[in-house]
Amino acid sequence: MRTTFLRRGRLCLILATTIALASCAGKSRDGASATPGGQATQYTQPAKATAAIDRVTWALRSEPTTLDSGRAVGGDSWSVLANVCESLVYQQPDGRTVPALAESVSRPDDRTYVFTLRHGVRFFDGKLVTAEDVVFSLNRSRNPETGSFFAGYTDRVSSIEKTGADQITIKLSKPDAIFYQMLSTPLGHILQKSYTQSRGTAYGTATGGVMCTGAYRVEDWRKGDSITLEPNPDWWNRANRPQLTQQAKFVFLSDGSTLTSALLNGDVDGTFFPAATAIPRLKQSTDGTVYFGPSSLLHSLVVAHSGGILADPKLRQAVAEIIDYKGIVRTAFQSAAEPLRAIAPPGSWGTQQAVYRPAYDALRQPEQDLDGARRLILESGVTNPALTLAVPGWLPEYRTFGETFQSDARKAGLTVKLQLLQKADFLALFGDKSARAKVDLFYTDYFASIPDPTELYTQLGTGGGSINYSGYRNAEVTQLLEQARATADDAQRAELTVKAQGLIMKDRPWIPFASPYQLLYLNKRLGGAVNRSPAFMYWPWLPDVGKR
Amino acid sequence: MTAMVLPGVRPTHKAGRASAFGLAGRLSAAVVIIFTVVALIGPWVAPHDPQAVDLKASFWGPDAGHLLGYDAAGRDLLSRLLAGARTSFLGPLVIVGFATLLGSSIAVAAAWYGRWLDSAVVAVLDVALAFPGLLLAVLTVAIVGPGLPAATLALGVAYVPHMARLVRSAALREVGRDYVDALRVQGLPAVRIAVRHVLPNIWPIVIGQAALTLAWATVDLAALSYLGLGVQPPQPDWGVMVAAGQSGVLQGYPAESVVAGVCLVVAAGAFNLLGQRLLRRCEGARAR
Repeated sequence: MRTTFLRRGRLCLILATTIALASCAGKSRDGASATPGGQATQYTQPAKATAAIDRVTWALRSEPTTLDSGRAVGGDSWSVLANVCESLVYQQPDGRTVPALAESVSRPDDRTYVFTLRHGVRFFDGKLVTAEDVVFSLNRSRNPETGSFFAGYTDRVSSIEKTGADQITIKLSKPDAIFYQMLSTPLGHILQKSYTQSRGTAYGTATGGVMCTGAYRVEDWRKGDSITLEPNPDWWNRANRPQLTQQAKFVFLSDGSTLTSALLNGDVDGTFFPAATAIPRLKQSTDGTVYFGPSSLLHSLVVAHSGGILADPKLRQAVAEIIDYKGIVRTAFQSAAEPLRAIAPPGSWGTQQAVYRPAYDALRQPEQDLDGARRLILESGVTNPALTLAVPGWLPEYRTFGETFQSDARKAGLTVKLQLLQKADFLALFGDKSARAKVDLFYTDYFASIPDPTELYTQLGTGGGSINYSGYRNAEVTQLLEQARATADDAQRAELTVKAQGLIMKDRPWIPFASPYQLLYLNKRLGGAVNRSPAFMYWPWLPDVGKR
Repeated sequence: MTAMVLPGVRPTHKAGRASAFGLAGRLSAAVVIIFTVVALIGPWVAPHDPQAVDLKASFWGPDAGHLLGYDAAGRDLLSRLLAGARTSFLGPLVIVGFATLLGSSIAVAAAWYGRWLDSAVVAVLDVALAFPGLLLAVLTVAIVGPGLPAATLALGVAYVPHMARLVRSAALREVGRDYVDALRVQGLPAVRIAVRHVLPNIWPIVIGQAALTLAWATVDLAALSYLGLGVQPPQPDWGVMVAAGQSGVLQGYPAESVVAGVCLVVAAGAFNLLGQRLLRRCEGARAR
């Protein structure tokens, strides 16, 4: 008996030792060449699809809390909604805004938009879209009680009225160069008035359903499991864009390891949200491909309030100099990102690259300078400076950033208390001032909604901006952005915004550090998926996904 | 008056003790002792700062100064393992100490006073035992907030019913014995009889059960830390390391999860074997 025990014991010991030794083989020290994530990445796009496919399984990182366009928030929800609901205008993948449910748009003056509805557009239940539906939907979006993430962009709207059988007129109190483009987001989604009113608060939920005009309709929503979309047979645009995917099942896989396994073994065909740390494994897959696309996404630290030690600009600058930009890009993002100099990432510049590029290049290089940070902390005169940084505790990449920042800050003489928050507590930071009062800095990622940084800086740099969390005020910035927003000429607007950007980057209400590439993992049998942000959230991308 | 104890509880010679324990038992005891020493002195003997990040060294393999290599953030794995032993190993000791103290007190009180108190305690224990301990701990931490103190308290409370039920059975047997009646007749206070005479006689069972519970507590506390509800990163802890190492597993560098996981398995296994041997030895003594 004992002999058997000892034999088994020896066998287990040998096995365990072998596994332990094998597992200890780490990365070689010859630099980046050994980095599985690879080097500075070239943008890649999947091939076009050539045939229809019966069923596609697509992964989201979290289940949408609602598919009500007025209340949905986040890339997961919006990437589904993009295929279900439509606006008067689309934002094409190339960033251009073109008519969608509107057949034509005219601007009699710089404060008026007149939309003529496309004829014959039907909701999922077969009823025609009317001007009343449009007026109802747009007014609902801008009603603060609805709670739309985009409501702040309608602050210059004075009226939305039906001015003809198929005509809607939107009047602005002041000229606004970004409002029209913002209508391509869920802000402008057109819902059926009678259905939405009859469902009340249940609209957009698994039981309440959705009534829009998009390429796909929600066939089934199993809470905690999946959302299934099927083609809308009455879609107005199906002649131009046949719905190649015959059924799409969106599954919710919040854990990066589970998602990676599901992608590798073929249970899931694609996702816009693979874990960055999984890139090396996914790149080795023989069944699928990781694509890297242009992105309007930025990662940043946000100053939580106007008080505390970060009220001192020197300490905000010190925070910027403590960040290990290159290290974070290499490890947390597996080199699938660029260190960021400004809040508006290059992927959000749109057509005005010639204005934004030189201004961007003139900003401070995103490089760690611990000596400089130490000097700034001493100059600030604050003794034993300490701050609290909140990061999402459930995301490993974000946690790595927090732990790195904490360790580096200690070297620079700044004590950082790291709070790894659970999801509900973390999300509270974005809507609850009292939650923000408990921390000094928090981590955020943010998609610029349109290819025009004026939008991003207006929301961040003016008094009522939806992402001005710290109550940031700078009269000159406000004036420049107000002026930019009222300027119709794209180049002139960009010049004004660039000036505001320079001032904002000195004040640092946000401290940006990286702009990850848009990631897409797609099974090799598939093609056609769009691979750029924000297109995957605002453009109906599913019709193009099919067999290669 | 000297304490009266059961004659068979103490083996009369060393050979009897050794054979009851066996090789596995002795190995387990040695592991427990070694891990306890590491847990006590680990943070001081760690060769590097377990929280010092160096992203350049992310996932580097072992070298002379870093025998287990580096984790994703370029921290020394051996130092984190040594420093993490404190919470991973001593945390369960606190949990079980709390559960043992409270559970034994409730059990002995119920056995001593009997009647309605015993019925009430049994009913409460039955209800508590029907509720999974780990789930109770997760709920508690979700309400109170994550962190080692909350996780330790929650698990401690969760294990009280397990400990109390076993100790109550033993205490009931003991309270019915003649020597207890004799002590009562002599007019000794109830608390003194319970603490100085009853408890020493059921102590081996308590110790055996505590060792078994230590195995569960080690795994459960690591599970809470793994879920982000126990020890909070970047503080080193074996459960935290298993969770943090997941991104390394995805990238083909599983060392962090593997070494922390192996330590947890060895610790839980050692506690388990030790507890079994202690209980077996106790049962053997009773049978004699």
